[in-house]
Amino acid sequence: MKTENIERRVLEGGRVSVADALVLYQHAPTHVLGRLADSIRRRKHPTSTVTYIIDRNVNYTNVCVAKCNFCAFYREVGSADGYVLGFDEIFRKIDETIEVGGVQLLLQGGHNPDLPITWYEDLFRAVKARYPEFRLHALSPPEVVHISRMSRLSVADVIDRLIAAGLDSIPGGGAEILVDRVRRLLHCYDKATADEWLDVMRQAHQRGLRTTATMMYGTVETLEERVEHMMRLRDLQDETGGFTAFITWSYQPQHTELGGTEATGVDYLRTLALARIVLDNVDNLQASWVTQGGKVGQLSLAFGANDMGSVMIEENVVRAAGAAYCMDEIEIVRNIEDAGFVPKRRNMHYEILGDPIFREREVPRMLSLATARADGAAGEAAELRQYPARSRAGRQNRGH
Amino acid sequence: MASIEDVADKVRAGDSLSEADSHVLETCRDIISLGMLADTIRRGLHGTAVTYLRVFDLELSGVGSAVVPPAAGEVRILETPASLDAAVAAVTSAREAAGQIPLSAFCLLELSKLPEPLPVVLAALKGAGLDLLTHAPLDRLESPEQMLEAVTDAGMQLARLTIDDTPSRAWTAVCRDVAVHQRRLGSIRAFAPLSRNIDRTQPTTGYGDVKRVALSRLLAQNVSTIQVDWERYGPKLAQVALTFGADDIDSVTSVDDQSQGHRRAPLEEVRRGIAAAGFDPAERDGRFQLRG
Repeated sequence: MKTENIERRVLEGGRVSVADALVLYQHAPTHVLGRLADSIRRRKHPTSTVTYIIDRNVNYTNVCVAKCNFCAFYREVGSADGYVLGFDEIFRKIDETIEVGGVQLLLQGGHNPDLPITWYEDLFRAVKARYPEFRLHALSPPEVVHISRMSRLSVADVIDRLIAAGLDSIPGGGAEILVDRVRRLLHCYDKATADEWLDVMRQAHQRGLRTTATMMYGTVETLEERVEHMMRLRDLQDETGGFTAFITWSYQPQHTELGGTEATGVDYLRTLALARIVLDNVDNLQASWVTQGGKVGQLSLAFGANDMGSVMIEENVVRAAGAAYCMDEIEIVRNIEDAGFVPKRRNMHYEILGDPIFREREVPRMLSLATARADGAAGEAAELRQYPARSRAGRQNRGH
Repeated sequence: MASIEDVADKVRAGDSLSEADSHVLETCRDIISLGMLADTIRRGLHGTAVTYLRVFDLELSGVGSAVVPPAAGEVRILETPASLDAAVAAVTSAREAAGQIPLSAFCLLELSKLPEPLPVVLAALKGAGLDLLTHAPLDRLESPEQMLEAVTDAGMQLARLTIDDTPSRAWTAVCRDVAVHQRRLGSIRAFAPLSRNIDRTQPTTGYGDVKRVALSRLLAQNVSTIQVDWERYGPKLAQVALTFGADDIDSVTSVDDQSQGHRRAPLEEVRRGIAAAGFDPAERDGRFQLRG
């Protein structure tokens, strides 16, 4: 099928419809998709800058009642492998992050029924008291929904209280595919429906928070559903303008209940390019080197990405599902420059913070990503005893 | 000064590329344009077919007791023994184990280091039943043309011309050398342009790798096959390289582990990767004959 008319419209800055997006993905050669995506990236980012952030991806707990069948990270309530990080452990991680030039934590975790909203508030306040300039990019929409249900507060009230405690922005995790048929099959409908996910983002945007949006593809969704996901994000962005960036990655199947295979590198580049074309109102697209590896991660810059994502420092979730790539700041910068771009550090709002840190001072090399606990230990920190637990296992564990 | 569009016009018209054109390609940062051009040449040579080769690797120590799976399209001995007698003995045993399956062995550079003259070495190996020399690293051969000619003179085929390390000179110069050798000898069946030695602390980049593949396809058009290695570079890069001019995948395992199900078995992964890149998978043997 001919795609020239759609290509011309994209090159002229026109918006694509659902039907256009499907035709492009199904019929345009990979290089043509790349060329279209690259033209949009150049229009949105006329300088040759490619950004990245130094932050740390911390998972405060792996205990989760959601039981998504694509997740290899979670542990059930009462599991001997379950953990909740203590405040001191999180402070140590922040210290290490600041040491290598980091500016924020990406803080996400399981839906742990034994963590009341006061635990999150106390944590955020404690972080802000010790590190006033440090940013908390924390709690994906399903976590906010979970806290809302556990605390019997509205989503709006939860967001307000978390903002008051120090929440700076919300990561777009847990979106998977924003189509309820898919969410039911992935056992993630109950953690948050597509509407609930979008509503958390809408309410966050209305309160002035900026957030990111994500898409995990390659499980059970059809191409039409992948495009529907993008369209729902585009609609909300038209309404609020609150998304700073879009990040897509392929489902990582190892050690998951769902199993199956991983989508290929070419699938990734095509999906990324299509997202750049469809999401014409989202300024920034990140490369997912953590799932694709450094090489395809770098090639993402030719297929619509303008950001190399995060140095990350620590990662637990995709590692559990089989991906174990690592890029420290030196490696990210080398890849950006090798592709002909100028690397700049940024914050979550995509404000430029400066040139690479390692060119200003010595930073230790990092050849593998850290994990939640270096020794792999399970268990809760002692301070958890002061918080009420909802589960029987949690109450027993805390001696309540 | 010519532009990438000028070079593209020449490529599409089937004109030969000059040294100035090579310079334009070498300095081009537009990886998508390079990929499109290389893909044009690649489709002209091979259509939508991507071949793959299932290899059974033999350790020198295990040659005598090897049981070769019938799925193998090539039996390969990678290590080169310290003496000609040992090499001949290994080939003799491997030949017996391989049966009718093509047998490849050894690195041309390593063979040239044996005390005997290279033509003597090659003749002895041919006599022992060796079909193919596994590889010859172009960047490390002192007199490539002479050594490649010795292979042809011995009545043997070189399975692939390879590169050990990232050369210090321009990659276009390497490609043009390959094309010149091929014009004179006509015996280079496949060129594998990605470095065999991988520096784990500072690996080559994705841009660098696919650009190397694309330039190889564009500047060595008289070499039929541009090859990537599924195992060595990983499925993601190997697959993407297919859209930048590569048409053949080496080192697919001949032992298809189906313990995690058919869809996750290595062979299915390769075939799915080829199809997802927009090509049609076709299995070949070590002599480049299509199988089944």
